[in-house]
Amino acid sequence: MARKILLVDDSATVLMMERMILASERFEIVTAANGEEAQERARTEQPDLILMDIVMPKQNGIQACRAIKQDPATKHIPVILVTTRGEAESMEAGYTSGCNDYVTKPVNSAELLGKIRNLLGARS
Amino acid sequence: MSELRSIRYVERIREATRALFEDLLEANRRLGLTVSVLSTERDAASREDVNELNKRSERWRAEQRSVLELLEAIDREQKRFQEQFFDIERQNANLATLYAAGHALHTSASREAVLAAIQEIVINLVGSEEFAIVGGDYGLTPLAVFGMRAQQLDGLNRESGIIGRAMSEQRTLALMRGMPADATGVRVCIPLQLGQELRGFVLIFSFLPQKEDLSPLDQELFSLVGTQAASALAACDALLDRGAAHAG
Repeated sequence: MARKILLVDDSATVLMMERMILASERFEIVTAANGEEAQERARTEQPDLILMDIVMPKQNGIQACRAIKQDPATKHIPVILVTTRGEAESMEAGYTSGCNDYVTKPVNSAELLGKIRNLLGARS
Repeated sequence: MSELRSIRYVERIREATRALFEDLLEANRRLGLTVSVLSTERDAASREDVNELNKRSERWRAEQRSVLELLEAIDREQKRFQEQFFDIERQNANLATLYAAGHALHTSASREAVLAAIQEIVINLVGSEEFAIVGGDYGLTPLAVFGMRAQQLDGLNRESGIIGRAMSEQRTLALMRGMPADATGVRVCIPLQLGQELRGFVLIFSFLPQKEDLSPLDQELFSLVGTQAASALAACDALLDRGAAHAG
């Protein structure tokens, strides 16, 4: 059975790019355009992993990650945050929210696939 | 009489003893000979065994060397396949990025949507938070500015530094890491050019701190933005003109 990944980004361009990069691994992809939608989709879709941008309207990625990690129905799902800046404070905020890992923009496909494989492997 | 018998008896005993002694000597000589023959045979047999064992050992060692060489060859081949796999994966990702960028530029007939698509590409795919999209007029009218104030563009024109050179050479000019920017502060100047028609520029002033340097994919993205964004903006303007003509 294909692993399911929830991609969360308000940019359709980024979602398309990530979807195409992950297509090579035959993941089942579901998407959300903001943090609120991400929480809802995480509950209903029960993905194996969430890849979420930090800068988004309505609810940013850090707030959404915190909510997902506090919800008993979704707290087990690994979350990778996509940050614009790689500085320590951004990472600290991300890890405080409960994220499992992060990647920085512009996304390096090899790094992203490596982290996804690592988290999915660790989970199975 | 009795004494004579005793002497004969002693002589017989002596004779029998001598004969026995000679028999013993002969037996001892034969035994020595046998021992000598057996010893020689044993030595010869040991040498053959040892030689045979040495030969087998050498054969095994050679076999082991060849198996190790085979394993090393398989390992090299596996590494080569792995590199090829990662290379294909990287190319796939690059193509995905270019496709997504091209798709974003051509999915709307709205000028604002095209400008938003250019911004998305520069922020997310190139990795910059300080850039401007300006018109192709002499004063470089700002169309969209991100991460900076429009006033920072004051004083720049189509002939300024890297912008003037990019326009005259009709190609993107980009400064690699470590190369100092000129007085304009622009690190990448992408002319939005459709044939001979200049529709504007994308001016990138800085990159995200984690971006180490420009990659071949960045150059592809600049080229794609330069031509495809110009084409998309031209299509928007043509639609606007047609709409205005119909309204008129």
